[in-house]
Amino acid sequence: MKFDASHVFLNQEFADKNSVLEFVACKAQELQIAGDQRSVFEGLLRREAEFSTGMVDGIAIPHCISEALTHAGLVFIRLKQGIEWGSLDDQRVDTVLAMLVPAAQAEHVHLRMLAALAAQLTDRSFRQELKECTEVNEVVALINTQEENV
Amino acid sequence: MKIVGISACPAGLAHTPMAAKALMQAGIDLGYDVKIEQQGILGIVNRIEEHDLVDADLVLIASDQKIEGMERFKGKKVVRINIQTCIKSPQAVLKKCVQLLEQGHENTHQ
Repeated sequence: MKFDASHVFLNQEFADKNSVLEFVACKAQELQIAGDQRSVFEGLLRREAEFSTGMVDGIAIPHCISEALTHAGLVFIRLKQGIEWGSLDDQRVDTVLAMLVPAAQAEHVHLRMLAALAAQLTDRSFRQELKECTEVNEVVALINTQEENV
Repeated sequence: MKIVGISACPAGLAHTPMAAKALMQAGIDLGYDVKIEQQGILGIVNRIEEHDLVDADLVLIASDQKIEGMERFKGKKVVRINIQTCIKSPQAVLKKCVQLLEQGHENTHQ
């Protein structure tokens, strides 16, 4: 799965959830994990419409499974100020882990990594570690360490 | 107390494994035997087998969606709780299950 320093965006400012999702789709295209950012954006929106991907402790995990995606990838965004996301605990979201998955499911190993990362987020101490990361390389190291444990 | 269950969500990617992990961890913390099958993008993970069901007290469906293989649970007591609640408050969900079981308010799967 593609996840390195180029997938991490710290100190970002966004007005609302839709602007974050638009940014994710745009980066997906720039990072060459998606061909058509519009479809990715629409996929992310469709998933949010089912029920919000806002979790707890200011973390959200928007995701999209789309034919517009060519590789599985993760995009990490840290916001300067939390925004409304309809979270489970009603907290504003400042940490976003966007999970992007191609509809052609050849990459089972990557799906397992993303599923394991999602499961790991139920662990309070992992969430805290993630929130305490202030440098890009810390985020990359923490998430890639999780992946090695799959 | 033994609870078996199934988690399933719209994309089957994030919330399915999240709910399964949260509920199984809550089971460890509360001292209940909990096994949750995931029905998601990876297919069936951690399948509830016949031998898991023999002494199961309750079946917990952590989903609002259609679940595959419900016929396995015929005659078992089934509780359905939405997956968000299971992720947010897994311990409270398990305690509620036990409470329902004690009060006999759950439905028996036909």
